[in-house]
Formats: sequence, C-alpha cells, structure tokens
Amino acid sequence: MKIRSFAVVLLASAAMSLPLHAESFRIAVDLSGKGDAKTVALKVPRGAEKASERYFQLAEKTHPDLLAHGYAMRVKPAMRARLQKKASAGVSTAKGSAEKTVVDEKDLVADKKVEYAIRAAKGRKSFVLMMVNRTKDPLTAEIAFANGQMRAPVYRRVYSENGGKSWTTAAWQPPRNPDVRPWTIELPANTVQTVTITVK
Amino acid sequence: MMKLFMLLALSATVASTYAAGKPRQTWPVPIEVDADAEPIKDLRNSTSAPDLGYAGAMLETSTLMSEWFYISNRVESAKLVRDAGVRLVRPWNANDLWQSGIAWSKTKNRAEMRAAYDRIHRALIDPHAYFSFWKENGIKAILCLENYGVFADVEKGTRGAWQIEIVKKVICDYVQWIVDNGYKDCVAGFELGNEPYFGNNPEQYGERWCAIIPEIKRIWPEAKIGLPIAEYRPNDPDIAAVRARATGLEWVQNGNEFSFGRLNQWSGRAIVALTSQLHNVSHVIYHFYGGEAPYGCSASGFGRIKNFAKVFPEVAGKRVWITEWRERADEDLRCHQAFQSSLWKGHYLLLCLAQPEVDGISLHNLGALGGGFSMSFDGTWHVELDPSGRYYVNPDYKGSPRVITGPAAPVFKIYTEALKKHPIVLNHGNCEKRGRDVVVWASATYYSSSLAQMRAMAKGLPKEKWPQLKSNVEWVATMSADKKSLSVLMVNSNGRKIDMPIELKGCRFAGKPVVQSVTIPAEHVYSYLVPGERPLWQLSETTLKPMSGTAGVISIGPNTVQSVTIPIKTR
Repeated sequence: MKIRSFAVVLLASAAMSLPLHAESFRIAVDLSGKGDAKTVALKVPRGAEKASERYFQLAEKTHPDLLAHGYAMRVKPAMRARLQKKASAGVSTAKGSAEKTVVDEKDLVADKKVEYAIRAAKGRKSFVLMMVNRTKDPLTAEIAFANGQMRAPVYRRVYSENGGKSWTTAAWQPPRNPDVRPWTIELPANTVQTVTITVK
Repeated sequence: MMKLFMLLALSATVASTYAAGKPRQTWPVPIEVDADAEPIKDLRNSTSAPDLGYAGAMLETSTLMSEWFYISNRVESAKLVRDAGVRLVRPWNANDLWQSGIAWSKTKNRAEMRAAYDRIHRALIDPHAYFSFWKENGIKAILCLENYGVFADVEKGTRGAWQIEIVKKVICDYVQWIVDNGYKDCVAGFELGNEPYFGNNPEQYGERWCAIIPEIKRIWPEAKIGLPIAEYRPNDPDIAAVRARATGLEWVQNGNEFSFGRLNQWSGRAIVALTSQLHNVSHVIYHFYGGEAPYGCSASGFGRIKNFAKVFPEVAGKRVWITEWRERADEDLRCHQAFQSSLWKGHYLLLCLAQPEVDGISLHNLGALGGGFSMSFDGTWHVELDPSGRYYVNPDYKGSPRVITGPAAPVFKIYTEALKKHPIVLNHGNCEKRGRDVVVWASATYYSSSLAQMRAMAKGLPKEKWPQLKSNVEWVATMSADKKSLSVLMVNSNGRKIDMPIELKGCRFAGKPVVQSVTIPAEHVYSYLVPGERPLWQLSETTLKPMSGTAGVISIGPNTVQSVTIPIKTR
C-alpha cells in the first residue's frame, strides 16, 4: 500500500465578492496497484457516524480493494495564515483574478483531521475516494490519475453547515467532461463523503 | 389596508402604462382567468384525462419486475403511482403482452415458458394483474397494437403467425376480453402500431388495419383509435410540394428522397391506404423528440401537426395523442436525472395542455431513469439505452427489485392532481404573453439555454462565463367543473422568485390558496440526482392567507413547479 499525497497549492479565488480561499491538496490514484480487502476506519465527526457508515459500507461493498489510505498534506498552520492574509490582500487589489501559490514540500505537514482512503472495484472500472474533513476549512483535492480519463464524480456527502450541530446527506453527480484539467474534488468543512469515479 | 395597497399598486401600474401616451406592456403579463370564456379544452372529453402521462407501463423489462410491481408489491406500487402522478400509461406490444399473459396464466409448464420468454427478453404476467391495478388506481392506458404478426406457439414464444386472419383474431379476442372483463374504463384507446413508418409497406399496413378496425368497432363502437404519423421539419418546402412528395413517386424518381425523408412519405401513403377506415380513426399520433426550438418536442411540433392536417385534410379535426416525447433521443437517457429536465418538462407539459387538439401525451418512459420511476432489478438502476454503459450501480441491491420515484415524478404529481379536480383548461401564458392563440416558446428557450449552461459547467468554466439563461414563468389556468375552484399550474425556471399578477373575470376569489410545489436548491439544478439516495428536490404544501376580490398576486419561487388552488365564486 502506497501513500502518495504530498503536493499542495493554495488557491486564492476572487470569483465572489467575498474572498474565497480553497486550499487544495493532491491525491495520486494509481489503479494498477493490487490493493487488499482491508477495511479502514476513517475518523468521522460525532453526529455523522450513522449516515457516514452507510456510505462507507456501500463504498467497501462495491469497491473491495483498498489501494491507499492517507492524510492531506497541508501547509503548516503558521504559514497558512500568512498565505491566506497575502491572498486576501491580493484579492482586494486584483478583483476577478485567481492567484495560485505553490508551496515547497518542506512546508507541508500531514493534517490528521483531513483523511482519505482510495478503494477500487474489481476490474478497475471505477474507484472511490472515502474522505473526511473535520476542520473548518473548505478544501479541494486535486486528483492525479495515472490510468486514463475520469468520468463525472458521484458525490455522497454527509455535511454540517452549523459546526457539527446537525448533519445532512446529499448525493449527486455534477456535469463534468472527463478531459477538463485540473481534476478536482470539493471537500467542504465538516464533511464526510464518498466520491465514486468511473474510469473511461 | 391590503385592498387599499393593492388598489394603489394597480393605479400606479395603470398610470405608468399610459404615461408615455401609448399602452405599454406590463411585465410580467398578468395571469387572466375568465370563468365565462370558451375554454381551451375540457379534459372530461378526453378518454386519457388528465392526459399527462408516461409511455411504458412497467411491463417492458422482465417477468420479475412486472410481477413485483403488479402482483407481489401492489400496495407499494399504488403509492408509487400516486407519488409519480401516473394516470396515463402506454404499453408497447399490448396484444403480445396479452396473448402471452393469457397463456402464462393457463400454462402447466411455467418453468419452460418462463425460460423461453427470458430468452427473448419479454415479460410474462397475467393481464388481469395490470388491468385490475389500473382500474383500482384510476389509470388509463393507450394500448399499442401491432398487426404484423402474433405468436405462433405462444408457450414457446415463437412468432411467425403473420396471416391477417390469425392476427385479426388475436387482436379482436383482446378487445373482446377487455369489454367482457369490464376494463373499458381504463383503456384510453388503441394505437395502430409503434412507429410503423419505419416499415416499408404502408399499403400493406393500411390494408391489414382496414380488415381489423371494423371488427374492433363492432365489438366496442366507442373505442378510440389512433394512427401514427411521422414528423417532419417545419421548414420544409411549401405545403403543395410536401403533399406531392408525400404521396407521389416523382420525388423518388428524381432522387430527392433524402431531402424530405421516406418516413414522411410513409405517412401520406398510409393515410391513402386507410381511406376507407379513417372515419373510425379518432386520433393522429405523433412521437416528438428534441427539446430545442427546431425539433418536435417544442412549439414546433404543434406547428407540424397543423401543417400536416392542411396537407392531408383527411386527418384534419382528428384529436392528437403524443405517445412518446422526450427532450433528447436515445443518446443521453440519463439527462432526466437533472432537475433542469424536470423544469423543462414543467414547461412542455403546460404547452401541451394549452393545445386545444391534444389529448394524452406520454413521456418516454415510465421506468427507465426517463420519467416517473427509477427501477433496479439486477444490481444497477435500469437505463433503457446507454451506448456508453454508464449505468448507476445500485449498491444497496440485495436480490429483489426496487422502484423509487424519479425527478419527473413530482412535476407529474402536482399537475395531474390539480387537473383531476380542475379539468377545464381556460388560459395559458408566460411572463410576456397570454391567450389561447399565442405560441409560447418558453420550453425551448429554457431548454437550449440551460443545456448551454450545463455544457459550460461541464467544461469547468466559471459561472460568470456561462451563457445567459433564458428562463420564464409559464402557467395554465384551470377550473373545476362546478366553477367553485381555480387551479393555476405554474413553472418558474428562473433563479429568482417571480410575483405573477392574476386577474379574474366572471368570478372572484373566495378563500385560502393551497400551494403544492416542488423545488430544488439553485446549486443542484444541473446536478444529476443519484437514484436510491435521498432526493434533493423538496416537495411542500402550503396554505396561504385568504384571497378576495378579482385581482391578486401569485408568487412562485426559483426553480419551482407548483399548482395554486384557490376557491372562487362566480357572480
């Protein structure tokens, strides 16, 4: 089992009137790995256990091979604050622009509150990302895929919009062309989700 | 106080309208209801009322699915049909289904017969199971009959009996069985074949039906019978040329066959071949696909119907069934999972309701991610056709079938429930125009522009770079037969709430409006909803403060389909 998640970018987007900072971490997916039939227990926020359990069980049932388990590599907290401040300033002076800051690997640290596992179906026609974000930060995962093109993801999400007081489920598939790059997956704050991706 | 406010608002509107010295159209154009006006149509005259339904009847896929739906899970199925507004169905190959079903109910070799029909992918079910279900649940069926052949050895599922006397006997036995068993009230009528224009011998088609139709009418004189007509583009050459091409041979001889299409020629020749029985044909039948303006499933389609009746006056005045329709053809059946498709259907259903000559219309199709239901009986959610094999896995599958309502279901439920109690269709319009003779393109403009937005989204373009959405509010005003209640069927494909003024003539408001609606959060209008998971649309029923007088405002939220039912009193 390989854990291959190490790059990070910080995106400062000025798409909205309020500054939106979506930090991105990278997940490498290689379906050529053999995998094993282990169950991995991701740490789920309190209150989200029941709904998450169903989604995770479905993921394990349809995608029996565990390929990887890891944590998001994020910039160290002190540096993150500096970058966010800088990004905010950039937004205020350059409306409508998006700034991408690439951070050096030595400034990254595994965030145990942002956890994921990659599972693959027999035949490798699809894989599923099991993801947990227990932080207050909205994140995106940039998928580096080694085995072709990915069809639109199917999200099954358990999320809280009030800091964990109540949890809601939602499942949907956004329209998305397989050839659009970069290939990103949204992972909002206080969220547990599985993302099923069929391989073209 | 409220009345004073409304009076002031009305005065201000009138003043601003005439301030420039000439009448200026207000926006939105008010909904107008005249209780004394000649209605667009009265659905009580339609055997398929409330007319908005589905093609298919949960009889198309397998014996397992059919028996689950109509026999072993009848109570659950009854709830499903209520939740999906299933009041009209249209089974394909109805005489085959009946012929094999009767044999199935009597055979002593069930295992062998089941195996034979599994091989030919046909469902076996006792016809009493589905006819009695339709009867219990107020469902009407347009039965699609095929005259090209019947089962020769029905227990083995082998075909080959094409002789007209044998075919005629099976079809007429079927009609007699319907009459004898008291099922006439759940049969809207008979369709003379599914898209027979793909065949190559309209004369033989006409000759065979001419032999069968008189016998059907002898058994059941009031039976409604529909003749399928091929569609053609409205920008075809002038009408005289169309007729010449459709009936003559000159276009074939001069090599122009692809400039017009052999399908359309088929229709003309079939009408000629059926001349002696056209008096027994009550309906013409169209199949419309393609939601954009040039295609049939938009206001263009009704133009084609009118044009065809001009070219062939033999069918002028016939009522119309649209027994298959859909915004896309077979290339993307999963498009129905997006609520954008439901909003488009909300528009198109109202457009159809507002056509005086149109009776039943059936969305293709009931049980294949296309319409009312999503069904799973083999570990995936069934898609009728998907060349790319993009099936939704049903991860909850445990070996038994499961049926749930799809994203079109709440739209049909809201509209058909209102229409059952309000069968008189009075008026139609949108934010810009109203009236029985106006052509409303809201469904087509919404469809094209929303599809363009979906494609931009799929390309990863930011929202500010998406093409403009051309959305609207469309409405149809309906009234109960006793003139004590009004129901306005509405769709709002805008991303914002719209307040629609409403003006009454010949009646006044007399009570509390009840709003039944379905809506979806803006961020999920273009999402494909995942069958088996919690729906993202939200159904609600709300009772508002009483309305009185002859004017008021009906609000409709963003991305919403609703009916607003209000008690009225006539003067």
